[in-house]
Amino acid sequence: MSGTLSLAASIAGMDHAQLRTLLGCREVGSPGSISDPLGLALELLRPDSISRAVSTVDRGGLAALAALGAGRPPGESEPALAELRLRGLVGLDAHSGALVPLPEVSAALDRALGVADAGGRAETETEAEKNIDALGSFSAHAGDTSAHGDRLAPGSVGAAIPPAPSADSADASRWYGQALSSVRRVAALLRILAVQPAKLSRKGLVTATSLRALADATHSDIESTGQLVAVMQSAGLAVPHTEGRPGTPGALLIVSQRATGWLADGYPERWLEIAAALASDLDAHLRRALEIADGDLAVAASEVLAHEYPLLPGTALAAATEYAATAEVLGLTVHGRLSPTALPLLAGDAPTALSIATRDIPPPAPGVYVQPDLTVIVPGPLQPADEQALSEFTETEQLGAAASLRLTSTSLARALRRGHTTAGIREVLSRLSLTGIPQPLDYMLGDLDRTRAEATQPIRLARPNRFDELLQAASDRAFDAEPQLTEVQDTTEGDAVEALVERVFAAAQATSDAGDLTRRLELAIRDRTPVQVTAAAGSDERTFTLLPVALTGGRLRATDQVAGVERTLPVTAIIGVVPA
Amino acid sequence: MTLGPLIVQSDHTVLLEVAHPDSEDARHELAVFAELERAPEHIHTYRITRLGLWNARAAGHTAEEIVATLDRYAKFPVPTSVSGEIADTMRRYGRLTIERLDAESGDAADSGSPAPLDGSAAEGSGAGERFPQRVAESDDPAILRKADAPSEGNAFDSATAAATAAAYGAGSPLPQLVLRSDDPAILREVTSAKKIAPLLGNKIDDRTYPVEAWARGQLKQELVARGWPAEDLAGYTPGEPHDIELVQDGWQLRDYQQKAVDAFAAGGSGVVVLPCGAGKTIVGAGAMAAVGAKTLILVTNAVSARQWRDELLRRTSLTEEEIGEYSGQVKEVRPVTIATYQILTSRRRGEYAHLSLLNAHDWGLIVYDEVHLLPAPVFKLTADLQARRRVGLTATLVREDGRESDVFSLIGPKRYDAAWKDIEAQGFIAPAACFEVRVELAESERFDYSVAEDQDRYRIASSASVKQEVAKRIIERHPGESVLVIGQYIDQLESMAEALGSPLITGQTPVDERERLFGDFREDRERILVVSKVANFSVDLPDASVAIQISGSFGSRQEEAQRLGRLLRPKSSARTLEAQRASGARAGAPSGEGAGGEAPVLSASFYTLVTRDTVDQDFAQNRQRFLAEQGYAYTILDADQL
Repeated sequence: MSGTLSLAASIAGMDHAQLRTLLGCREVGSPGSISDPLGLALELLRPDSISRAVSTVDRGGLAALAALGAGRPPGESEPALAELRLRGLVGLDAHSGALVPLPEVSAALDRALGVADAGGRAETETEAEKNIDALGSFSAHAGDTSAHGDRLAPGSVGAAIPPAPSADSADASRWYGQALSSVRRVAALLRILAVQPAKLSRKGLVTATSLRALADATHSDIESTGQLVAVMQSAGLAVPHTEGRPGTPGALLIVSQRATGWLADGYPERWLEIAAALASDLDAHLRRALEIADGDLAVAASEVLAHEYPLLPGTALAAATEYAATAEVLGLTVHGRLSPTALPLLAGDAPTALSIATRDIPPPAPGVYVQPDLTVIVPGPLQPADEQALSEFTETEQLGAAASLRLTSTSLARALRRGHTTAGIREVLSRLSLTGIPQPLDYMLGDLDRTRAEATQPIRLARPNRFDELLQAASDRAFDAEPQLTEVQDTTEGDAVEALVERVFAAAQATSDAGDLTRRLELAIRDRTPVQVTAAAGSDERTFTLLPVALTGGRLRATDQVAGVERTLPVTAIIGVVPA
Repeated sequence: MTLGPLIVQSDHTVLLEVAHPDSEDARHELAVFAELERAPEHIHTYRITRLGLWNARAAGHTAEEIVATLDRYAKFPVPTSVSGEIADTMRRYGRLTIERLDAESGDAADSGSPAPLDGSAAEGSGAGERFPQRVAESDDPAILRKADAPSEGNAFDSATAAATAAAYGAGSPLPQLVLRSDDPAILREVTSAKKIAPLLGNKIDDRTYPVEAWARGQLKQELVARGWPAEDLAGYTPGEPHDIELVQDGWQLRDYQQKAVDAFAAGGSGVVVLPCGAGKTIVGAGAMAAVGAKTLILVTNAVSARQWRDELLRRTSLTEEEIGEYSGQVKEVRPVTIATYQILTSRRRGEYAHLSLLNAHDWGLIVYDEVHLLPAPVFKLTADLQARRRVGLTATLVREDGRESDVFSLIGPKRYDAAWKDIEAQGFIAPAACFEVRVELAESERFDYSVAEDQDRYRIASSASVKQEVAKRIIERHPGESVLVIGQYIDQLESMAEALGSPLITGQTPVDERERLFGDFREDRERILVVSKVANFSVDLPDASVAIQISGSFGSRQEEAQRLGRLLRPKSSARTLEAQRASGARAGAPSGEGAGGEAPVLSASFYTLVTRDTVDQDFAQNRQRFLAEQGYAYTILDADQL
């Protein structure tokens, strides 16, 4: 049995909006090759496509699907089934307009629930019934906000769900420490990427080597560095390099034009931009789990999601856990609880989030501590220009709510090569330092002046001009050659999908042509599925229930299921083919 | 936002703003569970480590208290990852215990107040009464809080000792040592580990495994390595009683020394951390007096052994006949025996030749001097000495070999830690100013340097001939003061000694000769000594107020600390005092030589001569950083500014 025609009938009955919904939740490999509902139905019934689609169905939906597959009347699950139809998981009876199960979907569901044999059939009716009952019973509690529990497994369905931990608003109000830290770290990562772009793998991800280098340079762990880099990409602060598209060797991640503006913003504005990017990446399933978990993202990602969407693949669960961890790094959550800024952000209310961020994030510190061991301690946020200035002649030792930087002969020499002067550095430090300039630093700056003065003494060389050129070139390569890279223009697949919507809709509105009828008959032969074939001879129209056997020489050879005889019909006489 | 003095970073460092009005309170509370990493002038950096947290847990502090402390003093919210890990780390300590199983009942011998093995420390024997009960009332946060519920056996509770003695009787076999946990899952996890299983016998029940008697130390090491440090409640052997009294005539234990002794007494075993010059030897003597039993003292070298002997003769009731030296030169085993690490670890035909020393007497206490230098083989030997009380003395818990966890497992948790700044403020150690003097290589030496192989460059640079002249000028800046000139290369030191007309002490100098010269130096008969690195460790030179470092071990932090430590001891010499007064130097509070005091403390000066634009200068950066991080004033000068 095949559900192709039922699904095609369902698709043919959809309007533009419904088609867009369908194609929004189902991936189509090559939209350009599909021209009508039947073609789309064939694509959507590919086993991998069904597995993906079924895996994102919640418990209530799975129970409805299972009940429909078992022949139960839809009853209360009618709304759920209507929603599943828009996801291409339920077909339509062309005659009655009733929702019908798709055998391919039912088999996939049985396999996923662990009650199918090798052929994909439910081993026993009892097993299937038990799972349906269990799924259904959970479905009845899906609205219970205290409910969450373990991932569904055979034998464990309907297990007791422990209550969620109670909210701790005092904890959540401490979000800004992490916010401060994450903004500082993103700023440092952008400054590093501006000088040394990161390499991208064929999948468009930052390579492990580059990620380790970024983590080392910011004295952070690789895990949270990776999370911040992903947020930077999501926020458009770091983008792939045009000359090396992701998937091609040599692809790079560089800073975007937008990053320049971001670096010049205050801490609340900067934080809002990266946090909003992460908030917008919250997928519908996790959002639903978050509602059930009563605003505890950690619980939502680690427990509720798996329970609410029992067939969700491990990769999706891992992504949700990663999302929750990133939210924690940004201060969007504290111990999993949504921070005061997260609530408006997730509701799309950025202005409110910004006003809270502005209220909570401490104002710029009055200055920094310059110490005799040549460390510079920045005890909180700094004005963006001061932060930029310090970054140009110090090395990072530690970044958090406070920053620990170090002045070294190397960092100072690098700054001088980039055009800074010791007088300028001294001026910046004198202005920012709450504790003056310690004697060892003062001596070091004086020593640099002396060394540079000695270095500029004339040296007799055989080819002085050539020497200068080489020196300049080396200097440029080492320090001054800021990468002149441009962003990749992101080409979306939206146009192709929209074109597909139009094609399928137009084809559904058109009268079935001979080609379409032939494909339906070929499908029935392939699937050994009986169909109702309507043939016309002059004004006489007759409908047969046939099991098509062959389609050759412009004739259909089939067995009449009612009369029990073999019939041969000219294809030109066939005017309709629908599921039997 | 509380605007407190602390900023807790997500990498577990804690920054302390020194100028903040609450910084002193915060520092005191922080010292309980965090290690001071850097203490430059304005912002001090502490690190919260597993060992630090376990030390705090061993002292009776809880994760909730520690997180509350951080919250109370933090300027910004404490990162959730930090508070979470504090709780997770601390709950691991003590989930496993090492106890003695009561032979008759099969129960652990009173794990709440663990049974010591002080069978002989019964009432009237003397040993059981020595430890002051006031420890439990101490309000000093540097002292462990668990005085009323000691972790490693309050071995000195005479009532318990008497009960134990009665229970086991003289000569009866020791009760069975067991590893216990109330959580069978934890026990299952650790006992299935490859390195732990051989140390245990067959399971007694789900919560108890017998421990091989020899494996007590090794088991503790392995458990720490696996992140489940055991609380050792198995007590100690009392050792053979031996009467030792502190003779406090004209001096007295300083407050912090008394607290350190009390903290050790309450804990039974562990490490006392005091800065150089703060009188660690006296704390050791106090611990010996508190135990009142035969004692083995392990020290770094023979000179140090003799200084221990002299100090014990001066500060305690011990006589020369009661103190033995066990070193390369002398092999005496007496009620108090001072042995060197070297002799203990020396081998003959692949065997430790002097291992019998460990059992030569029924030692009641083992003192480890400079525990941060304890050689690895001694750890192995120490693992077998877990039934004896141990006290480690050190200026730092940081070991260059990273074996801090072995010190924790085998010697014991940190029992007392006094901040250098506190003791300096009280006038018990000398304030020091550090100077780096940049000198130029002579032209001929510059040529040699530029064509030399890498391995020779440091020697050439640090042996610059101009350093002799500069050293003379520095000495002239300190008329009448005692000066140590310290170096790495014998050739350089010989020519320096000749140029200055001063005696030279190297590794080749016989011990008697060394002692004579140190004596002359101490008694003002010699004003200047030129010394090699033999003077780095445990050489008590109380009158040195100026050190000139002409070359060193490539900027080693430990060496720098030790050399500077030579200067931190209080200066009481009349000549030095007079000289500094004449030159307008600052006099500090009264003090003595590591003991409660007599004379004013004067400032010390530590010069390092560095050859400009060479690897000598590169290494000097490490030194500068280290010294500034330790909070010393640091000034860089050109030689012509002297």
